[in-house]
Amino acid sequence: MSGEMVRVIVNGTEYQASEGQNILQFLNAEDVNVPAICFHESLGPIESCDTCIVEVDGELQRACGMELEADMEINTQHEDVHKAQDLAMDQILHKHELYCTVCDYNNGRCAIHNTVAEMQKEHQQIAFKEKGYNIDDSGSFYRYDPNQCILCGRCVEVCQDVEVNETLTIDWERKQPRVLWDNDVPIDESSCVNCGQCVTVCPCNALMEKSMIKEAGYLTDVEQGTLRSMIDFTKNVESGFGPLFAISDTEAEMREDRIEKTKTVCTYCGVGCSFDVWTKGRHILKVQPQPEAPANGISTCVKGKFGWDYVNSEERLTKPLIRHGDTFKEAEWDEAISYVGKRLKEIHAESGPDALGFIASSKATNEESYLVQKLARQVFGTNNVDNCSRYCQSPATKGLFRTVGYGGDSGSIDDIATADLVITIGSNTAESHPVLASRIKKAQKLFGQRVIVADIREHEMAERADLFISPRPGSDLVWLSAVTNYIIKQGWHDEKFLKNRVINVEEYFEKIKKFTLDYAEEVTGLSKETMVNIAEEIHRSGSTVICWAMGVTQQKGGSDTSTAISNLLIVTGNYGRHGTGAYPLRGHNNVQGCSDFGSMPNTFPGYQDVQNDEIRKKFEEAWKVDLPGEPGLTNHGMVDAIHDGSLRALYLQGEDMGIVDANANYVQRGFEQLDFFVVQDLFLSRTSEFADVILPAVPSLEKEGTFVNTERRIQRIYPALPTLGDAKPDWEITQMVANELEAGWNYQGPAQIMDEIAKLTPLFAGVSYERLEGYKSLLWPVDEEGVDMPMLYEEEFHFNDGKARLFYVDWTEPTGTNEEYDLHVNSGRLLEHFHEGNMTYKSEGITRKTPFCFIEVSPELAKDRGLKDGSTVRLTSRTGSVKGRVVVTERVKGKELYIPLNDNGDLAVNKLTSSEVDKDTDTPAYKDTAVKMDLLNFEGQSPLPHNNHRFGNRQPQIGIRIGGKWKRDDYVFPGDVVREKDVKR
Amino acid sequence: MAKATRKVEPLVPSKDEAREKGIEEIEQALAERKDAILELIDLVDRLHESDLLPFISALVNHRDQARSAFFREINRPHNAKFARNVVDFIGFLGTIEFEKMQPFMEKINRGILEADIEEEKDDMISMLQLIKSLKDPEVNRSIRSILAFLRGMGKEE
Ligand code: SF4
Ligand code: SF4
Ligand code: SF4
Ligand code: FES
Repeated sequence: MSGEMVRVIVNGTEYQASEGQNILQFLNAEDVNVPAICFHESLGPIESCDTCIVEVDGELQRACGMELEADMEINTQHEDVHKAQDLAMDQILHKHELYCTVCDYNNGRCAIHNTVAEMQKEHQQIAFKEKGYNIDDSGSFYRYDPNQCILCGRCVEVCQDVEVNETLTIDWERKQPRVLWDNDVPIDESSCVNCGQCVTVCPCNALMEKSMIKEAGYLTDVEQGTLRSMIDFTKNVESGFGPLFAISDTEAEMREDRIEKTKTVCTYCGVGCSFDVWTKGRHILKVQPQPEAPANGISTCVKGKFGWDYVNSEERLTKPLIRHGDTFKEAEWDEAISYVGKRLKEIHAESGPDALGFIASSKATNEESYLVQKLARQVFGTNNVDNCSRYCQSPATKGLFRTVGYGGDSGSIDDIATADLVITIGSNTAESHPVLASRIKKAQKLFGQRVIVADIREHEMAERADLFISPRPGSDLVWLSAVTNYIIKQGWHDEKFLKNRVINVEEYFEKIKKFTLDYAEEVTGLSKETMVNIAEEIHRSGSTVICWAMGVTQQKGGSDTSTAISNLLIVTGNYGRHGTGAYPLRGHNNVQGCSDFGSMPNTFPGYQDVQNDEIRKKFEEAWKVDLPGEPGLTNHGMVDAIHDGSLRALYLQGEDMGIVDANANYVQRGFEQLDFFVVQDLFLSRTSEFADVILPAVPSLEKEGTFVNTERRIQRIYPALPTLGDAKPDWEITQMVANELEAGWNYQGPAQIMDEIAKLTPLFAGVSYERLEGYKSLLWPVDEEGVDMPMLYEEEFHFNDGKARLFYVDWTEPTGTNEEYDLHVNSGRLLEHFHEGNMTYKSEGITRKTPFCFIEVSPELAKDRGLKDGSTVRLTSRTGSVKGRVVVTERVKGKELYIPLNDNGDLAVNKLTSSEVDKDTDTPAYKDTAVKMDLLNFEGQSPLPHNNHRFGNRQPQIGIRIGGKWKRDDYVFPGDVVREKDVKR
Repeated sequence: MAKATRKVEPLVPSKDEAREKGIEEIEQALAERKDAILELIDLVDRLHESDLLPFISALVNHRDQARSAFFREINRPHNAKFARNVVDFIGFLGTIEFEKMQPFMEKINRGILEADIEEEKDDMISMLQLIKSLKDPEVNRSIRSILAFLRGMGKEE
């Protein structure tokens, strides 16, 4: 039986091993050296390179392609083994030219180089031969050199079965096989989403980041002719590989002197991918994900892998700016800080603590969030502190607080990947959380995971879903409740779980009866059969997870729908086991952390209530001040308070609130009325245009700190670059401001801030920088011993009695469309852009393929209104209007429009959104927006260029189909040659 | 009441201020690295005395041409062997333990080699090997080619 311990013999020595284990992995773990070029720990066996041949029970076999059996005899030292491996290597060197000294990939990790060296191979038997294809450098970020490609298939494997974008294949039929993009088109015109994973796993220089080329080596930045002679030279000199390698290894080591590799965490979404950044001076050579990265392994999306140009943008602010009339003047820090201190003090003295408001950033670190709320509370005595999770995530948190107790994902991404059934609601996962989406896509493609997608738009996940449902906007609560009710009626609820671990069951069962299938059909537009179908899917699955995002939360009943999701999970017993639970997918990289660490009007760090006297006393003692016991204003409330004149000064950390808040016009008019407005930012953002003082901050790559991803995983970042100009990390800036007001803070670095937090916050009691060193991470809650909790609720729910609560909620009807405002606007992310775009538009490689924001229109509507790709229209809502060009696509249906939220100009979608909010959390109901449309110009160019990946042509298949290689007439298994078996031909 | 603006006036320090700040920064940098700088000056002196300085600056100024000329030249068939020898020679240098040789080299510099040669027997052997290899006609030819090449480069300037 697989997994049982059995006896095997390796080179005459006995070993205990678990049956069914991959032989190659077993040998590697036991330090028995076997070459292996196509094998990658994150990909598993591909069986394409033949270098791992060993003798198993007398036969020469690929070690990577076999599983251990009891009493197997393995020999890795037999002469024939070496001969076969040598032959395999010859085949590889026939396809790949060794010119390491002048190769940008010569960084000590080239699998070919290292394997040749390890095998102590001195000469090659078969000369290198070009394959007769040109280099493809048409793409934005990486290039493919077929002449160096060894056809190992790692890239295909990763693209097909890890990223699951299904762009790459190898055509084994053609005379000279090569890697193909789609159906053999240039990289730039393919469906490739530039996730870069193929480049990450390529064992050699065949696929390489363009940012590495001519930059990594000492001798590689030369013109082509010279390069050729250098390559020829290195080969002429070749008196065996030994000396050649001595030189190239020396060169590789010299590179270590000037190339820094720094671990960091991506700042583009809540997945929290971590990876090494390679830098040479301020130049970013590449991003290199590592298998040990806890959330993502070797995966990234285009933004994490390639979207870092903004860091070196000319537009970065490098000096504090102080407003004089309608002009900003650059100033030195002393002047800026003392001015900020003076004005804040004056307003505080004149109008009291609550005339000030503070907003932390979900892109800044946990320590920085902590300091902002400490500044507000300790120095100014106000609870008017909030963060941008208000824009998206508070309703989800609320729903979980009501039912299970912790405001975070119930488990880790592994739980999502291993669930039998995944339901996503109002989440454009493949574009908003690409790496997490890939885990689902993989589980579905390879392991039969079932996927149900509920969304009004037919995005990639919807296309892939086993069941795609499109309820009317804002009606999710109704079908969720009806499904729950139906499950109860069928007796499919988890009786034991409800009895032992849940309260309010009977009361809830009674009330939920209202949600009949008939009623739900009427409200949601879904058929009864569909809802029954969903109930059956859940009933059949051993474990179900539900992921949701802004389509749920940014509604008038966002908290209630989140609650309904949790209710459904409770009723079916889908909590507290692996592969189950609730996953509100957090948008920005530190949405979770920013709230966790206290930038909330009603809670201190770790969700400790400001109204609780005991808790407040603890903070009062630590901070040596009296603290206010009433919750402060949410950022929405702050904007209202500005309008009514009671809030006079705003201190805002790195948040482009004037763009991202709903009803942007109203917010911007508010900014104009402020008496004093301080903004910390990297750029002169739209919001900071209204500021009185702008303090230049630095991006994640230039500072230390920690982030919390959507899994509740705390991870560290390290400075990869020096700070630019006079810009400073946000925590330093906040400290300077506090100390200007005699706060006497003395933090030497974020590690000390974290120590203080850990002391004051039970949720993070055992968090420390040592425990987070490198790729180590902790999923909160973390107890004093540093034990974390990847999966919540295994023992108990987070309430005093340890029980979950069923919390009945009713439906809030969305405002919706009417005769005049007859079109519904949906907004959200695009894979390749971030937020209002002031980071990703700085990347030329992204912008050339996605240069503008656009309006998606359904074919029906286009026909009805006489529109085509590129027509310009104006959309007008009750609060404002925008203008932009149209893309006609079947992703949207009927009278639905979709606008990516990555624009801060004419098409800034939040000019349309109103000030309506989730009734429980004040989160703007962005997704409940109605407009009317006017055609301004029929003619025009499509805003999406033809080389955008959305026009590509995917080629789904599983793996590289290695059989195709083995069937070729010119292929012989090296083992057969050595043993002189009857070989083909 | 603040209207949105994108107008930014850079902080332009007056010429004198900028100069002063620059000098301050340099002074500080120098002071922090006193030993290294003094050594550097020494090195520059020596390079200058030996006429190597103009050569190096020419080489740096024309590094692209130089590199391309070098590899073009070196790729000619008759040079292949030479190149191989260079590689072998470098390989040989790699086998010498320079750390051990350092005290010995210093003694050469100080001209007291004769004095206690006995003690340094091991080092002596490596050194002798090195010298002997220089006498090997192949190696010697290679070294001469390098020198000739370098001289040629110098002339191009
Ligand atoms: S999508 Fe593009 S970058 Fe990503 S693995 Fe596939 S081919 Fe490579
Ligand atoms: S391009 Fe793909 S097949 Fe070719 S060497 Fe790289 S990973 Fe292997
Ligand atoms: S944006 Fe998200 S998925 Fe993409 S690399 Fe960053 S963290 Fe990963
Ligand atoms: S590692 Fe086994 S075939 Fe490549």
